[in-house]
Amino acid sequence: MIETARPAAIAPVTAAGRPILEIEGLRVGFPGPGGNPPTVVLDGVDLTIRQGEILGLVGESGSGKSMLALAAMGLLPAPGRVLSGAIRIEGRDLTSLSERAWQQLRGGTLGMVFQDPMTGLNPVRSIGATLGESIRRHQRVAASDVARIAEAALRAVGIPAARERLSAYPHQLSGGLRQRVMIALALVNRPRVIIADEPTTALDATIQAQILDLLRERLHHAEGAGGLMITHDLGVAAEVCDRIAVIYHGRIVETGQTREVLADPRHPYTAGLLAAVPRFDGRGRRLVPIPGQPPGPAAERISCSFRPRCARASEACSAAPALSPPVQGRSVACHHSGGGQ
Amino acid sequence: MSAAPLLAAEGLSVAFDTPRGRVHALEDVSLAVARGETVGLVGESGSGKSTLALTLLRALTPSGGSIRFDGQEIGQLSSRALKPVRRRLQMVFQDPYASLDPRMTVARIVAEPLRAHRFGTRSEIAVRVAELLAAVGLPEEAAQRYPAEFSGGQRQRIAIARAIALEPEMVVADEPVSALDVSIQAQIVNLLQDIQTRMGIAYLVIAHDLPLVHQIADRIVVLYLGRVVEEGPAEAVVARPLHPYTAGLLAATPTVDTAGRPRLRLGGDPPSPIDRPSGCAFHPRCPIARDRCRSERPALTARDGGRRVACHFPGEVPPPLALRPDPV
Repeated sequence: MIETARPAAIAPVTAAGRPILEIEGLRVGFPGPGGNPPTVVLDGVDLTIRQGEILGLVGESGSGKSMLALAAMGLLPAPGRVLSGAIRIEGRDLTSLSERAWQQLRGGTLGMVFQDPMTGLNPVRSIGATLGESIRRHQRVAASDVARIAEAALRAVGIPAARERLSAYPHQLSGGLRQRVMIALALVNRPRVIIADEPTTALDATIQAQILDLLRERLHHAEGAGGLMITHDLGVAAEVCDRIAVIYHGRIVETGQTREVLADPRHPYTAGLLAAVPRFDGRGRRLVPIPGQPPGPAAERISCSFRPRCARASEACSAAPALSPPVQGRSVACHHSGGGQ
Repeated sequence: MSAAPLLAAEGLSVAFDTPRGRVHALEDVSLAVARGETVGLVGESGSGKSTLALTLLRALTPSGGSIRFDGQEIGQLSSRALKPVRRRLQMVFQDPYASLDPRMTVARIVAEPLRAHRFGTRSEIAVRVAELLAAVGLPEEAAQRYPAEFSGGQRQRIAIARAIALEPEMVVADEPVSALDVSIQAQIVNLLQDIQTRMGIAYLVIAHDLPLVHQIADRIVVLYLGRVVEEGPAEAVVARPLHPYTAGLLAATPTVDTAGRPRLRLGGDPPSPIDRPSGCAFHPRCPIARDRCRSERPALTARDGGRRVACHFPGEVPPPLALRPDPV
């Protein structure tokens, strides 16, 4: 039973395919009480995911990372809404889709994996019924083929005794198996974009490792698709994602290839997060916390949002820095990113 | 480490009666914490780590075995007889949102143990509360506010102030930072370490985060399905785990410094205590299990370097963190 999991080769940016999911200048807000200006939770987010790559969106609570996932799935909680900007899958803008069109997209072109698989699984339907319904809805297949496709989908995510599991109900499965079923459901209709929101946060360590291996392998093998993974855990992003985007207070502060961002963080917030995380090679060394706490979504955005916690802050930081144009795939939103520590 | 530990559990068992029969949440657990020492307790769901914490604090009564605190047997003491022990043995919980009474001011929350143990007059208590808030890095005016007005990290500071109010000799902390944001976790970890340096408190820290435990603990105890499978100095256990489960747990931990390395993977799910496998409970998931492991339960056996392991074939699994891929 020793499995030596070899990570799928981490493809360089140039080898990735066409943009599959493009988020451009996305602003999301909740209306203020009594006609006040809205609380902006995402403030001009740009992200591009190409075919064959997994982008990790890393942030703390209140950063807006889950709002971005929800916006891209058409599931923003009311009264939140897209104020401006675009979300495109293969060039088609989704921001003005009807609810009906969203329903057709979700589970088909757009696969979703949530933290709690019970969110996506109906507790009173068998696994086979849930998978079957999704297959019939999104694929033109003969009724006699549905069970076979469902079984193959379970087998593809490493579920033992796949045929017998089709008649099982979610509560009869362990948390790890349920998350595998959720991933099977996300992949069964050959999506172009897969969004996973904290997919392993609720799982035990050894099960998390199994699911991360599975996500990395299946998302890289999902032909022509791109993946967006939302996580608070830099270690998880490091394990799975080709690129990382760090989000703080509703804005992307740094993006780049995973390895480069982790080895050489350019934004003081990214550097701060890395210094705050315990590492196996850090025993005896004191952790370096980031002072203060993350701003709430409603905090004002008149300057760089990280300024009050930043050791490098200066007069220049009273103006919010824009995300720099990418240089070899790296972008940073900091007035001091050039000058090292 | 001095000869007599501050807290010593021996042969500890805890069983619950359920509709599906008797469940042994803990079986024959032995564990010692010396004065001023930090012991990290790790394990997955169902390992019994939280049950162990509650039992050591005597929120649960063990069905067998002994718990000695500073030489005194406390395993079967009544709650009345436990009162003087409680003063010396305190607790910090995982969820700072659930562990603080929302209707009480911070001053009342922190003063509660002081009042319960008749610390002094009202003004003496007020002075002590102010000292405690300062010690955990909260402003003086926090005293008159309510928990809801504070962030998760600040609430955990309040909980820590309450826990150290009576200058306990030991604090049991159950996942003290896992509900907090990463940038806040380090603040709380450092605070706990500073308090330890200042007050010489011993900690039993229960955590699923192995890099964290490795960072702060002197010794690590690994639980699997209600039993200790490995114990030893933190550095040695992480560098060279003797039990294959420890190796698997280490390999499973996603960290920024080990990402992308080929690694050992444990298959399957942690089994349920209701359905305990025969022999070594780990054998269905073990990469090196042999016939003997299916029939014979391995005893926790002392090894060199102050280590103990319950495995018939200790050390056979290669150290997971040494498995490095070719440099890219």
